[in-house]
Amino acid sequence: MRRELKYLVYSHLAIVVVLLYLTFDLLTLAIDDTFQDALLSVDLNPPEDAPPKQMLIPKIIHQTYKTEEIPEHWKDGQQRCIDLHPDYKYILWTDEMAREFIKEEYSWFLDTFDGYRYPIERADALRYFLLTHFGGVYIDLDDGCERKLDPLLTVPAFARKTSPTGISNDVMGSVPRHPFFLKVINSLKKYDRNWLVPYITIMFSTGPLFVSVIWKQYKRWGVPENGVVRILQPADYKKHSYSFFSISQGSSWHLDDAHFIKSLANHILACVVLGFVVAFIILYAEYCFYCWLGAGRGARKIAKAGRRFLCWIGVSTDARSQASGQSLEMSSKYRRLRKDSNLPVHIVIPDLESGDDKVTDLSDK
Amino acid sequence: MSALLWVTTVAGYVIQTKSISHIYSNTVDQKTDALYFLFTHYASWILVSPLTILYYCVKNRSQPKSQAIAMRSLGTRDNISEDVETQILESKQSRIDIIHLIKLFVLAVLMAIGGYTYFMSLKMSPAVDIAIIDNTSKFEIVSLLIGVCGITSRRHVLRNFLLMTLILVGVVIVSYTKATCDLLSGKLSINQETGELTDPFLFDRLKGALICGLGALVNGPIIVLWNKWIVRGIVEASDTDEDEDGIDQITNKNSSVEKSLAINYQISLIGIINLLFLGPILLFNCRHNPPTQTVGFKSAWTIVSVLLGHLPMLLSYVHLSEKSSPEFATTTFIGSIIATAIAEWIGESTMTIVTRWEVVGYLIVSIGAILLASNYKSTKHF
Repeated sequence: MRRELKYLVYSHLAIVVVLLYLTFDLLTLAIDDTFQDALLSVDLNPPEDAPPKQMLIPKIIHQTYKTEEIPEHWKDGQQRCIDLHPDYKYILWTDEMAREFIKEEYSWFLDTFDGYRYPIERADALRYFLLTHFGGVYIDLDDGCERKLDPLLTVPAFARKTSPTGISNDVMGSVPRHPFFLKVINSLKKYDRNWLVPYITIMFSTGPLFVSVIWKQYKRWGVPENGVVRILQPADYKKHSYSFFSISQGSSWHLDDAHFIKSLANHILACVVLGFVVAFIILYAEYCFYCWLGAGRGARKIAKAGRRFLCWIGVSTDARSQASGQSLEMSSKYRRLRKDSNLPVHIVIPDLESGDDKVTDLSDK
Repeated sequence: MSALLWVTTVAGYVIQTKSISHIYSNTVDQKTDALYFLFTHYASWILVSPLTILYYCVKNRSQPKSQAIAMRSLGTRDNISEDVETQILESKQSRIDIIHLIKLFVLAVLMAIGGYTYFMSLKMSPAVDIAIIDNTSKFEIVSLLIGVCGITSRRHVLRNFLLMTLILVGVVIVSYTKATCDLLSGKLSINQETGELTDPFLFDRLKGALICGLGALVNGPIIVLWNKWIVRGIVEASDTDEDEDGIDQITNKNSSVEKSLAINYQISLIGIINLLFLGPILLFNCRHNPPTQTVGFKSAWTIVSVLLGHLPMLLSYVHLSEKSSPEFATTTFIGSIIATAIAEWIGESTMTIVTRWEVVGYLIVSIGAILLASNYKSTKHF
């Protein structure tokens, strides 16, 4: 293998290593281990004669909306939550209250909070701060309550499993200053990036993907004592007689790009194949370019174009080109001389009779 | 001859894939199944050399001669000289043999990785899906690496690249528009009420495709190393013999037989290595997860897969690479995609839905593959 080809291979291996490093957290999501910390039926539906468990999470329900004017289709769900939990403190956080809260309690985050591109990012970030600060249960407005939340309060923190992997942030609960939510709020600044596509930006800066990645990081080296985050399984979440919540019309922040990305799940094979095809086309195009260069003409053309470009931007001048032209001419002359030296030797025969001083006559005359 | 080998390779792949997929869809999923299939398929490579000798013996009906050729190709010496020079040569030979065994071990491990991911992904995704991603991945990596590592000619690289791109565009169209539903394909799985994904197999299919595609990438290094370490050595040795013997028709024929025998002998050696290192791994795994559930059913289909699918595919691919060229052999991967889809369409016609764009995709793939194959044929340099 040629040296330049080796460099090409090594550089690509380096790129792969860097990409693996950058996407490592996302790749770990491929291993779905949400069952390990699942909230079991015995936790959520304890037998009647079982001794009551201590409630760790404060009895507070947090919900957020931009104003106090909640859309009609969410009012039923909200009211059910209030009615089912008369002994809970209920707080509806508006945008104004949210900013005031962040400004007073977490002023170091205010710039990031104000700088978010989409309002839903602020709503996402706010819920993590609320749970860290006050503790309690956060419930999205499109999640209506179906039964009392008391069994969920017996664990230090909980979130719900989402499809196909990871956890979601629409229903969460925690004790104040839980290590997981502390990690979440401390990671928000780092993950505040614009990924150009709104859906991906929201998901990865403050949304479920962000929480899932932080959750994976949190679990990677072992969780602190009493720091486990228990996972509410899909059947306990909705659509069963024993589920805690029901879904009304929601996902108000989902734009067309979100629907498109979700529709890709129906073409998952095509997505993987496309990834392989794009990678191949890039690599093979590089190989074609390499072959073109190796053929000789390509390298000469590039060198010529480079010299022209240098002349054009003024780094190299015409005089230099002329000089180089002269040197070329000289070198060609030199080559010609060298070539001429291979011609038959021109033998000079002196005329002895002319009495040349430089010639010694050794004849016997 | 090349056409026969090509068709056998493709048919072998289809039989193997459909058989294993059939086993998975009709039995309870076991963790060790993939390992069990890997062991049964790859350990069967031991049979290659004896079967080849048997084939030539039956074909030529002159056992002593064939046996002699076979023995010669296996490196067995008729007489053992005792002088010092010979002993030195033999000690050098033993060192070379150890290096050769290490090379074979490396090949065996790489092949086991590729095989394991293939068998594992078959239980997560439908057979056609796996055929698409597996063969696309193999086609890409092998085409790229045999070019980069200088195994093939560098003439008409751009033209071949354009044809490959055309084929791959066809594959993308097929995979995007594929509409056939089965238990694992996961179509029409959006929850219309909540807009959420309720497909329980979505992540399995993603994992299946990724594991299969990434695992198939080891086939690139395998084919490069196989050509550099094994085939080149055999061809060079054979050429030296030809020079010594003088070239005539009989010698050429014998040389060809010797080459085939020598290559198949190497395959059998890899089979032995596979047997030796996969066997203990399987036994170790079986302590907790016995793979013997519905033994009769599995064994029958496994035998079909091995004898009618895996071994013919392996042998024809190797000899197609040797007789034609390694780049021409890559077109069998594309053939396998089309053939698996056709096999499903014929075998499960009542359950198969073929969309218009799927047909367009397959047509693009077929035309591209034919043009690419004819290009490779015309630029054969071996």
